[in-house]
Amino acid sequence: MKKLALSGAEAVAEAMKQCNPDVVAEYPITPQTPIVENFSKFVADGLVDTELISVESEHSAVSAVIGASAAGARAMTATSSQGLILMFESLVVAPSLKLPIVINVVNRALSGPINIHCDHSDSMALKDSGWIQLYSATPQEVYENTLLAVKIAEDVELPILVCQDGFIVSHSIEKVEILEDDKVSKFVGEYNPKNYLLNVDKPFTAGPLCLQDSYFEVKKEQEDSMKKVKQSLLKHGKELSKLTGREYDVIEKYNLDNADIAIIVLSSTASTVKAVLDRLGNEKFGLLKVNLFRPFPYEEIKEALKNVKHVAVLDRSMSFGANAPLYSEVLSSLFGTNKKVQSYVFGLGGRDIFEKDIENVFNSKEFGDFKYIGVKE
Amino acid sequence: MNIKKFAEQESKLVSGHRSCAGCAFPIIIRTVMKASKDPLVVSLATGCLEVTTTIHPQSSWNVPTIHNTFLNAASTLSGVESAYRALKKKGKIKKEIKFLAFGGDGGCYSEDTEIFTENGFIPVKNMEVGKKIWSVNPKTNNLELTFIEKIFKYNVDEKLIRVKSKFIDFLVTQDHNVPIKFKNEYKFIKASELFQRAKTPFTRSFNWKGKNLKYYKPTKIIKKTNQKESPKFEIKNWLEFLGWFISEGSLNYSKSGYLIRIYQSNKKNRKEILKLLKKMGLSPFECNRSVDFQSKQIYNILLKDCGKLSKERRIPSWVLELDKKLLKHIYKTLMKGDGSSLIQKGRKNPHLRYITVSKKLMNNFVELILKLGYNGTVKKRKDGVYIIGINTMYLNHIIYSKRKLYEKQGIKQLKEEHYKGQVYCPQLQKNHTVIIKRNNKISLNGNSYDIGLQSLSGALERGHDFVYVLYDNESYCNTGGQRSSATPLGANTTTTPAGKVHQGKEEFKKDITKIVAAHNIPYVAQAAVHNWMDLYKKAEKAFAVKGPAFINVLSPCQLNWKIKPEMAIKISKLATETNFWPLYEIENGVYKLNYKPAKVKPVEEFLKPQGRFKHLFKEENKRILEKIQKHVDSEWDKLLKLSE
Repeated sequence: MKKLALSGAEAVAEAMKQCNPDVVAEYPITPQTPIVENFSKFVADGLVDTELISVESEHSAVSAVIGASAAGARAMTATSSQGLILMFESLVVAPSLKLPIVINVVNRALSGPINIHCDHSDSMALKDSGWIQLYSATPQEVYENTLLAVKIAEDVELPILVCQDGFIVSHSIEKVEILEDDKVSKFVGEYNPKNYLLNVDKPFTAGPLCLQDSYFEVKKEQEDSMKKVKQSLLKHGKELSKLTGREYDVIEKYNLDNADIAIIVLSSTASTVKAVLDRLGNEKFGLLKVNLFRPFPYEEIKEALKNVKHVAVLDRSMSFGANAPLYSEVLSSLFGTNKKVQSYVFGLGGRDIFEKDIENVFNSKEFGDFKYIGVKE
Repeated sequence: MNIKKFAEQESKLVSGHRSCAGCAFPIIIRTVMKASKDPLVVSLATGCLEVTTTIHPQSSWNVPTIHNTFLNAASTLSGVESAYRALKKKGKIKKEIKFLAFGGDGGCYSEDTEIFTENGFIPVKNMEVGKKIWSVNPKTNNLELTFIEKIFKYNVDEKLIRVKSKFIDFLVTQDHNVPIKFKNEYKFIKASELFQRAKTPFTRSFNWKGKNLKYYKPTKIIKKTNQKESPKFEIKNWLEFLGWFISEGSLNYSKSGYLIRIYQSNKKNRKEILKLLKKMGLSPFECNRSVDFQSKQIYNILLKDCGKLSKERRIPSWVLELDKKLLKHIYKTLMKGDGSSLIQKGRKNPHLRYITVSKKLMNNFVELILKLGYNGTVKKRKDGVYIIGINTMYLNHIIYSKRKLYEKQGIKQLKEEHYKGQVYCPQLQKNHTVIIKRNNKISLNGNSYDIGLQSLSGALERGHDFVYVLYDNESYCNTGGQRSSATPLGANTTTTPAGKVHQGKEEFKKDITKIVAAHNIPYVAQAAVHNWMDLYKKAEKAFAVKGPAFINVLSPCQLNWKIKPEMAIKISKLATETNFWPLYEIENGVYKLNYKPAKVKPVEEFLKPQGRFKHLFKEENKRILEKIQKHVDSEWDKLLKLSE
C-alpha cells in the first residue's frame, strides 16, 4: 500500500486506472473535469488498456457506455450537475438492461441560477432512476467506493452512481492510501456477462418494446435486483476490508451508542460533524452517516437510532413543496416510533456550513417545521 | 450478385415483424444486411423500425441488436464498437464484426437600412416575403434577382457592429454574416470576426450578364403615310437617344403635331444629337436651345416607356436587361444630359454625379451603374432632388480595424455601436447576399443561416468503424406523421396541415446527405429502395471501408405519404426519375452520380400520386409546385457540377 496526496477527483481516476475498464466515455464539466483529465493522461501514457471515447455530450457519454456495457465491456464515465440530468433520458434505460455501469458523480448544484458549487440536487434528482447511489465523504472513501461499486454493480446487475462533494472533496487534497495494482485487479476481477452483443453466435435483442404484458415485470426485476444490493455491499466490503483494514457498511455510526441527539447527513459534512463531536466530547451527541442512499437502508437506520430521542436530518438539497429527500426517507424509517425528527436544509449552491452551525443543531430544543442553516433572511 | 443469389441469401430480419403492408424499410434493412459478409451488431433508434420488429418477447432480428433511446443510435453503437476494439485487443473476441446503425423517422440589419429591390431601394422594415431583390452570386460575383423567403425581426438593445468608411456603411448584429472578397469568390465571416482581422477586403463592383440586341424595333407601330415600313433602329443609336431624352427630353402635343424636344444649351452637344437623329432616319431641326423632331410613333413609345413628366421619368425595364456594353451607350448620353463631371482641385479623377427629381429614375440609375460594375452614393436634397454620386474607382476596398493614419485623424472604420430598436434579417432563396444602402452608401452584405446535429455528427467525427443507414420516410411516421426537417416543402402533415392560410410545410427538406458529407468521412451515399442492386452495392462499399459510412435511403411510407400499399416501389422510382431524390455517392470526397434519367420527368409526377401533396394541385397553389420544381432543378444542377 502506498500513501499519496490526492484530491477526490484524482483518487477516482486512480481507482479507474486500477480497474482498467474496457471503455470510458469522457466529456468535461466542472467540477468533474479533473477525473476525465487525469484518466485521459493514463490512456495517453499507455497505463490502461481502455478505449477512450471523447464524446460530444453527456447524452452521448451515457449512450456510449450503455452500448459498450451491453456489448460485454466494463464501462465507466463521470459527470456533474447539468451533465447528469442531460444523461437522464438514456440513463434510465441502463437499469432496465441490467448493465453494471459505474458513473462517478461530482455533486454540483443544478441550474438555475447557474452555480458550480456543491449541493446534492443533481444526484437527488435521479433518486428514482433505478441506479444505486453511494455517497463518499473523503478522497479515501471515494477511491474505495469506486472499487466497491464495480463489484456491487456486476454482482447485482445494476448501474451505480458514486457521489462525492464538488470542490469540497473533488478538489481537496488529502492523504489517500492506494492499494497495489495487482491487489485491485484481483479484487475487481474479470467481467464475464452472461449475454452480450458481441457474442454474435448467440444473438439477442437488447432494449425491445415491452408493452402492457411485460413492462411491469421488467420493473419488478429491477426492484428485485435492488434488494440484493445491501448484502452485496457487505459481502464485497468484507473482501475489501481484508486489503484496507477499514470497514464498509450501508451506514456509519459515530459516537451513537449513548447519544440522545443524532445528526443524520450524507458525504463530506459528516466529517465536519465528526470534528465537532471530537471537540465537544459529549457522549449525548452522535452522528449517523448514510453511505448507501439507493437502495435506502430503512431497517439499519431504525436499528441504529433505537436509543436516540431526537434526530436532526441535514439535507443538501430540497424537494420543493415536500419533505427534503433524506429527511423524508428517515421519517419513513422511524415511522411508528415516538422520536422527534427535525429537518434542516443547508449548503445549497456551495454555501459553507460551519462547526458552530453543527453545535447549534445539537443544542437546539425546537422541533417542528424544517429550518434552513446559513440562509440570509 | 444477381437476383437469384440475392434471394437465396439468408435474411437477418426474419418474417413476423409488424410493419405496415407496403412499408419500404424491411426491404431496405434486408438488402443492406445481406451485403455484409461478416457478422453484424445492429443499433436501432426508437421509431417504426424498432417498434415493429422488437415487440417483447419476440424479435425479428437474428443478429445481436440494441435499442437505447430515440436520438442515440449512433452514440450507442460508438460504445459497442469501442467495446469491440477493447475486447479484441484483450483477445476476448476474435471474430471480425461489422457495426450497423439504423436511424430514421425520426444577423441582421438596423432599421434605417434600405435594401435594393427590383423596384429600387426600399427600407428593410417594409420588406415583404416574395419580394424580388438584387443579390450577388458569391461564386461568380454576378448580379442576380432573387426573392425573399422569410423575414426575421428582432428587438435589440445591444452593441452592434458598425463598418463605416468613405464608401461603405453598415450596422449589423455581431453574428451577421458579412461577405468579404477572398480571391475571386466571396467568403462569409461573422461581423464580430472583423475585429480579429487587421484588414478586410470588401468589393463594391459586381458582374452583370445581360442580353445582347442588334436592333430596336417597336412592337406596335402606327404607320405614317409617307413611311413604307415600320422603323427599325440600331440598338446603340436608340439607347443613346433614350439617354438624351430621359435626361433632357420633353413631349409636346399640339394641333401642329407630336413634338419631341431635347433641350440642350451646349452647341457641341446639339450637333451630336442632330447627327444621331439623322443617322436614325429622322428629320430633326435645331432650335435656339434644343433639338426638335416630330413623330407620333416615337412620341407614344416614349410616353409609355419613359414617362412624360420629369418626376416620373424612368429607364425602360427592357433596357436594364441589356449587357454591359450596350448599357454604356445609354449611360454616356444620360450623363451628358443631367450628369456632371467636376474636377476638384488637387484631384486627379473627376467627381461624377447624376441629378434627377424622379425616384424611379434614381433607382434605375443605381441599377444601371451597379450593372456597369460601378458603385455609388445616393443623397436626397431638401428640395426633393436626388443626387447620385458615381464611383468608378476604389471599388475593391479595404477596411482596417487598426490603422495609425486613421487613428491620428480620429477615424475608426470599425467599431461597436450601441443600438436600441429593431433589426431585420431577410432570408433569400439563393446567394444570401443583398445590396444595401445606409447613410447613402451602397454595399454588399450577407445573410445568416444556421445548422445543428449531434449524436450522429459526434460518432462520425470520432471516426468509429460503423455503417449508419438512414431510412428516410420524410416525417415522424411512428407518431403518426408529424413534420420533421426531412419533410419536403408543401407536404401536408399533422403539424403542418394544409389549411386556408398555410399550404403544408413551408420549408425545404434538409439535405442531410451533404451535411454528413461535410464530415469528410470515407463513404456517403444516397440510395432508393426500388433500385435494390444500387443499394446492395452501396452497402457493400459501406461495409468495406474503414471508418464511418453513411447511406441515406428514401423509404416511402404508405400511411403518411397517403399512397396505396403497393405503390412504395413505384413512388421511389418516380422520386429518382424526377430528380427529386438523386442517386449518388461520395467516395473519399469524390462525387459520383449513379443515375441520370434519360428524360427527366416533371416533379409533379412524383407528387401527384401522394395524398400528402393533394392540395398543391389546386389552381391557387400552382406557385408552390413551381417553387418545388425550381428547387429540384437547382439542386440537381449543383449535384451535376459536383459530380463533373
